[in-house]
Amino acid sequence: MRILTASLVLAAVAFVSAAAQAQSYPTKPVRFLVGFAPGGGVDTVARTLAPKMGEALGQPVVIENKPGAGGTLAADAAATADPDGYTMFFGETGLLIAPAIYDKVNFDPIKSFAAVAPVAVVHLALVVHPQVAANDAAQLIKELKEKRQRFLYGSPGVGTVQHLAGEMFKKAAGVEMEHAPFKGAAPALTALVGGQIPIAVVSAPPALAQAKGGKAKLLAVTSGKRMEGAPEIPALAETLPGFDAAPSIFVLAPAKVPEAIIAKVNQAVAAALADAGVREALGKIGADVAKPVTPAAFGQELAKDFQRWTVVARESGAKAE
Amino acid sequence: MIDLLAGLGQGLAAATSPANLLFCFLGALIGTLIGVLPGLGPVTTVALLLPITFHLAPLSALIMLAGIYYGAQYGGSTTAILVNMPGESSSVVTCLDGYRMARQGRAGPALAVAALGSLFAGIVATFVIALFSPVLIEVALKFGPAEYFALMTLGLTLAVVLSNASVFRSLGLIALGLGLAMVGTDVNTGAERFTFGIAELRDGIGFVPIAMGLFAVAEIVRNLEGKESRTVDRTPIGRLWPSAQDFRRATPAALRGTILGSLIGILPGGGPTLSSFAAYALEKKISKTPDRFGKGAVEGVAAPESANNAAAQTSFIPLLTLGLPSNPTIALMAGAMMIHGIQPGPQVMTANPELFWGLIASMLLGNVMLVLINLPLIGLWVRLLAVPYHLLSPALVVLCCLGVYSTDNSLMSVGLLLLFGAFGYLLSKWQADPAPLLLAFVLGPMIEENFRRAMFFSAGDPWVFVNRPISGFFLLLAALLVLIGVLPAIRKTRSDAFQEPP
Repeated sequence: MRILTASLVLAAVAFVSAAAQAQSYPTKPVRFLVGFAPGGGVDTVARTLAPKMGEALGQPVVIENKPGAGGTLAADAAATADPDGYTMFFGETGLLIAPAIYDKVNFDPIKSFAAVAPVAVVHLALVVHPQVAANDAAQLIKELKEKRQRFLYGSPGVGTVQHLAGEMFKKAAGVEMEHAPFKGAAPALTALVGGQIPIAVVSAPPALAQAKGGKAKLLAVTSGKRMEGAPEIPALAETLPGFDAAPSIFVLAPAKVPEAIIAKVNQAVAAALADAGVREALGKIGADVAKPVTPAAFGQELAKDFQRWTVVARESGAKAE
Repeated sequence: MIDLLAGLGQGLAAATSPANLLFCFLGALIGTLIGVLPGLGPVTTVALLLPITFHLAPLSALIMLAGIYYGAQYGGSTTAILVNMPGESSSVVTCLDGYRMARQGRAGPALAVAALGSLFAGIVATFVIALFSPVLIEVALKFGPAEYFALMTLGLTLAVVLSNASVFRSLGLIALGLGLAMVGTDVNTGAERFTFGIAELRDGIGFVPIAMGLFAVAEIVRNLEGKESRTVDRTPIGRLWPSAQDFRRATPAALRGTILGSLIGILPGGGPTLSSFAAYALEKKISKTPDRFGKGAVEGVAAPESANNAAAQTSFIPLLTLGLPSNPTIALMAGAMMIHGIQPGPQVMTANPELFWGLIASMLLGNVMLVLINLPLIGLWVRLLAVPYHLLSPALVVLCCLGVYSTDNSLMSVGLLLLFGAFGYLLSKWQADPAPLLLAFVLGPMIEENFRRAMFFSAGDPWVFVNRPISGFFLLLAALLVLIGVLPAIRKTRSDAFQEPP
């Protein structure tokens, strides 16, 4: 009986102190892990948000890069970090694809983390070399169906969202193309401009610049809706209803972080995203900010996305054998 | 021509504004410093400084970032010459003769030749950018996978030529380098190779731990093995300035290195690295006294240092003409342009002429500043060698570990550094030169990637390599090199083997 009482008291104390901890959170700088090298898309987004998030939290936000293995090293580190709320993680869609691609992944994209907030959607572009006759997605589909010639499409690598977007396009349009993986977006785009490959799926802003210079034709963005910064370019969903293949960036926390802390970080993200300067900076790199939602709603969204991408990745055969 | 002068004039006017001069100097200075620090390379530095540049004018930001990039090529040679520590892949070759020169008490002349050669190359390459960008980019775009494969194969045959060791030993090291390069995720299928389930190995083994292990750590161990001291302590510091004979030998070498570097630099991928290896091999091949190479030949410093600096400049051509970055550091600069609302693309030259010409003009100024920063430092660097080795060596090992750790915040890399340090020590015991291994390690992935891509594009037809003129030419050249370079060497080794007592 005494033991029971003692443990009840202990539990109560622990509960109260956890609550107090959440109330005063944060009392020191908050570390946000990024799974890619400085200067990449996710890193740029994180560093753009960091000062505004810091203002909202009342403590500095520190971005720490832990690049490697497609961002999974940082995910491992975040999943096993102390759930005290001082380690957060900028994830992206590649995280949801990783378990279907890599042999051994130590984390579960859903169970190992607590969903905090969505940040942005990054637009991808379907581009073709100027010598390809098609001027829009519908014409390209027609050309792919008619001609019996081989069509190659380039992407920044096996298992990237760009690759999977290409595979989804093939399936949705009922066409055949062969995948030519490159090491990153710049070599893929260079090969397209040089005429080595007729089609490529790469992030929208550099593709847009090549299209403006007449070196490539940008047929569509692969997202469900048009890009805010370039509304003249149609979305693939207008040709193939329901098509939506765009990587998103979001914030996660280690699984056991208290809900009160997660709510605070969620609001800090929302505050940063509401800032006009942040929206403009993100728009320039082809990222449209996400609509703020509660952590719970975002968690459901994430679980749905995970299922969707897992199916696509499995069907693409991009599993490392 | 008038356009060029007008353009350069406009660029100089923009680049010589007080603010831009300051940022040009800052870039050159930071570049020199990170080049000297092992491990911390231009990619990391540019990435870290990127957020700061958001508040600058676009041209100032680019001038500074570019200065860091080509400044690092300068600084990288300093540690290579002084302590056999190649901070950048492009300064590996400089170790071969530069460090020998330092051990002979000629560190001053080696550093001076490296700085002056780089200055010359930087200025020439800047004019190459200004004059020939539009033409050269057309050639670069003709490079498909078959051409890359052929060029890299040619580069790899150079590895055999440039080595002092026997052909068979070099071939063995090349095979090992190619094997090490295969560790990681296969580009074509996404399959993991030789990673043993270790997540840190999925991206392959980093260049920095291998290069610093094989060269710097191995050299430190070797120096400690003997008695209390190493020879450098005993050698007089000697003169700081190159002799007339040094200049006579270095000038033509720097000229050839500049031409080679300017051409190879335009091609995306390992431009500076490949060009420094190629320039070294060329010098050794045409030298009347090839025996001096690897023993402190001044041409062996002048040629690769000019080549890698020329290549660093001309690797801006794809970005400036088409907006297509040719390596990770330049990709970051493209990112910086985007954040400033300038989308890098084919239109930069016409839509933002001030930016285009301002950046080119700043390269001229930056190269001069680099020499002004570096020449007075030579005396200081050389005096560093007078530090007793039992104090210097632990500091060097710590610097190596820190540098390696800073590249990816992973202890795995530090472990690899020490492992390759031990292996490098064994190699020196076998009198094998690790340079071919490193070149194979750098070129291996590109050779494989482009070979498989070329075969994939041609639907399995191997004749693409011969039918395409550029590719066929390179492969023919490689075959010729093997014939004229390797065959006599084999004969020689065999005769050596016969002459040596059993």
